[in-house]
Parts: sequence; C-alpha cells; structure tokens
Amino acid sequence: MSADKLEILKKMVRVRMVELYVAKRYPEQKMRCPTHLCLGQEAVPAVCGYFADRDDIFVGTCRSHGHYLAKGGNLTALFAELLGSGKGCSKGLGGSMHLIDLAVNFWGTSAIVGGGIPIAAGAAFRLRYENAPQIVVAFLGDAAVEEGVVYETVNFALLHKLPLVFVCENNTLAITTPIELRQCSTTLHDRFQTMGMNSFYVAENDISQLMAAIRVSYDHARTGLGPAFIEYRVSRWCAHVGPAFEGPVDLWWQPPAVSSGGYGCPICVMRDELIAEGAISLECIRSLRQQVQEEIEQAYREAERTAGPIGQDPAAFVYASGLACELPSRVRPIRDIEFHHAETSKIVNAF
Amino acid sequence: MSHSRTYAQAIAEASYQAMEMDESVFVVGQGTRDRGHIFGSVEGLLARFGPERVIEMPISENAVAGICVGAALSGLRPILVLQRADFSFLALDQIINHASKFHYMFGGQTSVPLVVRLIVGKGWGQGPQHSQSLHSMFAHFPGLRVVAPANPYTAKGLLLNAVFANDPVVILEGRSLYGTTEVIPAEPYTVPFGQARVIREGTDITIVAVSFMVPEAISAADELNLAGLAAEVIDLVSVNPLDVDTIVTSVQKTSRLLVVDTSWSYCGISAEISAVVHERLFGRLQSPVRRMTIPFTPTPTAFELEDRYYPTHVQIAQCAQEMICGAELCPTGPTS
Repeated sequence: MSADKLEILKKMVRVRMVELYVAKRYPEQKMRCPTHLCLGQEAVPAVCGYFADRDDIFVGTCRSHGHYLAKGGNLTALFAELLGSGKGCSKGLGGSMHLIDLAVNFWGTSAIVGGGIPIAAGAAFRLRYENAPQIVVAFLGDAAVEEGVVYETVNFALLHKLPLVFVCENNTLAITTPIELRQCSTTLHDRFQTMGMNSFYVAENDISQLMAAIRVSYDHARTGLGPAFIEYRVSRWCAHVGPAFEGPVDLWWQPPAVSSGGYGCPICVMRDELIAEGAISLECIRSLRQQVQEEIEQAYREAERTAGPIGQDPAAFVYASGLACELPSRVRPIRDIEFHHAETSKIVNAF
Repeated sequence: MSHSRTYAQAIAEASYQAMEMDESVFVVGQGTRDRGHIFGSVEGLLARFGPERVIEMPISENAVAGICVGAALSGLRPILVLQRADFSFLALDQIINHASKFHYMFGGQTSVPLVVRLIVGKGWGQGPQHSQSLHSMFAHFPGLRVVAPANPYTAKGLLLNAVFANDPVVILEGRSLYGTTEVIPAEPYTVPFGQARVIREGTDITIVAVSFMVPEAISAADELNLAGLAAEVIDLVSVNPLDVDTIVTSVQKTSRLLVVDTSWSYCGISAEISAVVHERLFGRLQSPVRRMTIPFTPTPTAFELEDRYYPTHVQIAQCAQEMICGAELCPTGPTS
C-alpha cells in the first residue's frame, strides 16, 4: 500500500511541478495557446495513471496536462506542443487543448466539453468488438455532466457493457460559474446509479478512497462487468485558463509544522500519510523535488531548442487518404444477397 | 458479372461486400431489425453478420456518432446510417468538431475512417424536418468528404470507396432515388471521390445537377433535344472535393452554365460552382450563370405546395432554353 502511495505521490509531484513551471514561463509569451492548468487537481491523474496498464486507453479534456503526464506522455513533446513547435506531441497543430501520445495510449483530448466522452466509449466499443483485455478511462468535469451526450453515452456504455471508466473531477466550476447555478443537484454520481451504473463518490483529498474506487472500477471494467462512474470532489486552484493561481502549491516540500492544518493540498495529504507510515522522509521529498525540477528544466530547454513551427505544409494533415481508395484483397468470392424486400406501393416508397 | 440493382440494393450490396472483405466494417443505425431494412438499404446484413456487426442504435445521434469516431480511431470502419439527414444536426459536434479535425489537430497521427450515410427525404409531405439536403453545409468543413450519388452504380462504388477511405465521409442519399434501377457490376468496385459524371454530351449549355435533380436534368435535356438544343448534363456526385475540371471543361465548350440543386441557393454549392466558373471563365460566358434551386423557405408539407417546391424538368428545360435563346430571365428560384 505504501509503495502504491509513494508512486502516486511522485506522479502528483511531477504534475504539480510541470504546471507550476508552465505558469512561471507562460508570461514570456512563447507558449501562445489557451492553457488550462490542473493545479490542485493532481490526484485523479496520478491515481488513474498509476493503476492503468500501458495498453489501457485514456481520453482527456481541455485540462489534461496531468492526465497526459500521468499516463506516461512525453514531457518534452508537451512543452514543445505548448510552444507551437513542429516537435510537439501534436506537431504544434493542437496546442495545450489537444494532446496525444499514442506510444502510451493517451488517445487525445477534446476542447469541447463532453466531446471526448463518446469517443472514449467508441474506443471501448472496439475493445469489446475484438474481446481485447484493455479498458478505457474517460475524464470529464462537472460541467460535462450538463451535456446531453454524456447521458447518451452512459446509456450506450451500460447497454453494451463497455470496458469504460468515467472519472469525473467535480471542481464545482464551469469557467467561474458555480455548480449551484448550473445543476439541480450538486452531486453527480448518484444520477447515474439510477441508470444501473456502478457509481462512486470520493470526498476531496480522500486519496486512499480514490485509489480504492479506481481499482474496483478498473477491475470491474476489465472483467467484463461494464462501465463505472467515479465522482471526485476537488478544488481548482488556478484560473479557468492561463497562468494565474491561488493555492498552497509549495507547502508539500516544506516541514509539516509549517504546512500543517489541512491546507487542502493532495500532495501534502499523501506526504503526511507516507511520513506517518515511515515510508518517506522530508529529505526524500526534497530530493524528489530537485530531481523533478532538473527533469523539467532539461525538457523545456530541449523543447525550446527545437521550437519553430512544423516545416511541412499542415494542409497535408487535412485528409488521411486520397480520392481513390483500394479494396482489400479477398480470400473467397462473395455470394450475392438474396433480396426479398420490395417496395410495393407508391405510398411506402415515399416514407 | 453484372446484375440489376435498385439504388437501395446497391447500397446494401456495397455494405455487404465491405463487411465480407473486412471484419472491421460494421453498420450502426436505427431500424436495422425492422422488416423495412432502412428502406432496403441494409437488407441481408443482419442475417449474414449478426447483431455484433449490425448494431441497433439508441436515438442518441451525437453519442453514437462519437462512438463511431472512437471506434474509427481504433481501426474499425463504421458505417453510421441516419434515416433522415435532418437528424445529423444532433450529431454535428462529433462529425464536425471531432471527426473532421482529428487527423489535422493531432498532426496526422490519428485518422477517422467513418462513413455517415444520410437519407434525404422527399415527397409524401416530409416537411421542414425530414427533407433537408445538407450537402452544402457539410462541404463547408475541411476534413470531410461529401458525396451525393444519383444512381445505383455510383451509390455502390462510392460507398465502397468511402468505407475504405481513412477519412470521415458524408454520403447524402436521395430517398426518392431508392427505387431507381440499373445494371451494375456484381463484384465490388470503387468510384473515387471528386469525380463528376458527364451523363449527356452537348454544346449549347452545361447543366450541373445534384442528387435527385439529376433525373430531372436528364429529362430536361431530352426535351431540349426535341427543340434542337444540345445540353451537356453533369451529375455533380462529389460536393467536396468539387470536380472543377470537369465543370470548367464543359462550360468552356458550352459557355453557359445552369446549376440545379436540391437545396437552397443561398450560400449553397450552386453558389460555389458559380463562383468557381466565374473565377476561371470570366468574360467567356455567353450568359450569366443561373441557379435553379428550392425556394428559400423550409419545405412545405401540403401536397400541392410541396409539388411546386422542387424544380422540375419542365422548368429546367425552359430556363435552359431562355439562357440559350436570350429570352426572359429564368422565372423560378429564389433569386429571380
């Protein structure tokens, strides 16, 4: 258990530090794309990423730096993407809101609220179609639960028992509009329960409970029992978009005496549990910080070094294939369909 | 080997052959279990391939379109069929914001081999929400291929081409064309995107027609022929990309162009064709380009009103004759 927590702590630290680094460098105006940071929301990416297999598929949102990194997405390619570089994970054509790293099955993100949800279900549909052992994790926020497509997708996922885990980070904000002004109920998981979904609610910073819910849901989906929905209450410390933030971002590496008192920081919570379990010391945490900082700076330097838009005309990426397509080669002749259906009257013909 | 097939059977046959050739092809739609087989266009599929590959959809157009996008990203080749093109408005977020952009916005790393079959209603009072021809709207967006076959041969070949393309393709099918019969090859074959079809050759005027206006244009050409005028009739087939060369070559020869569309002229494909021809052949036309389209109103339901709503071969022939002979301006269409 401590070993799991330690790895999750490391993932949270890495996400936190990358986001802080982006926030720090963003005003230089070299990263010129709408950037949605996940400061304060590191727990879900870390836990979901830690328990997923490499072959499992993640589909994210416009706020997915954390999901990308926790799945193993390439850090240099993330920075390069933010810099509009042709070396970026989407060749500079997507930016912060459209991240992808197929090598680790991070399948992309949509900048339309709820837009990735049916796509994740489609990926899960293929797994079911081919009896593949993986699962798909679809990330969404509370605002996506206001989109009809989410309910449509939940229905389909239940109907077809798709290996799909919906992970909803309820930060109670749609840009800046509080959930009370938007939804008839401020909890989200329970409405899906009535549809037959295995649903879980996890309170803010109850990371052990989050770990348990994710493990159960992953197992559930992996063993053919269908989808699950996890609602995790969380605080967003940053502005909806851009580098501004308010929150105890730097307490986690300081002595607990300074940072004690709840502080609402998921990394502090995890650190304190690990210190109590004797699994980590403050020195270890500081050395981890040093190590991650070096990795980040090196990755950013590398991304900056190769900055510059893609050399090739991006119009080449509008279509994947040409105008004339080839039929697959056939192993056997195809017999004709015996048509029985006939339109018998003029009236039928018109419907 | 060839055999006689209706437009609907040609579509069913193309789907069947695609599914035989490639296990990643599946069909999803509403009414796949119905004895009408979606007007016959999915007949034989369920019996041969079963419910795993012929999927009955909930009435959730956007989610199902998105599920098809996700499946296509995974390497499957979905054929999504909506019984009326009008229902596609419910799925546009997935078709336009997602399917058409994924290849581009992820730098060419992913592709969406998705076919969306949309059936355009006409006749029997289909009315405002069951009869819209949406090809111009879909053609506005880069990343989609948009085609509107008018005959069984093209319907089969284009569907097979679409299934094995790696891009999202929107096919507008004319419900009123479903009974059209033609002898077509029994074997699978493809018709490439971007190719218009010259159906009648002529020297006096070029008539470019879309979908179910093609048979009207052919009849009009026959009538013009009786009057000693030779119209060249082009079935547009491909709305995006547009076969500019075929159209321009024809108009170079005839120096007159009449575009007949199943949809509205305002911001429609007829406007685009007119613009392209003027850009290429400015000063070489003997009369202004004319457009005959449905009036700029929703489709009326009342029989008599609906009957007057769509351009007819008589009106097309009259308009063409006036363009050639310099008589009064074409009396029909919203711009006149």
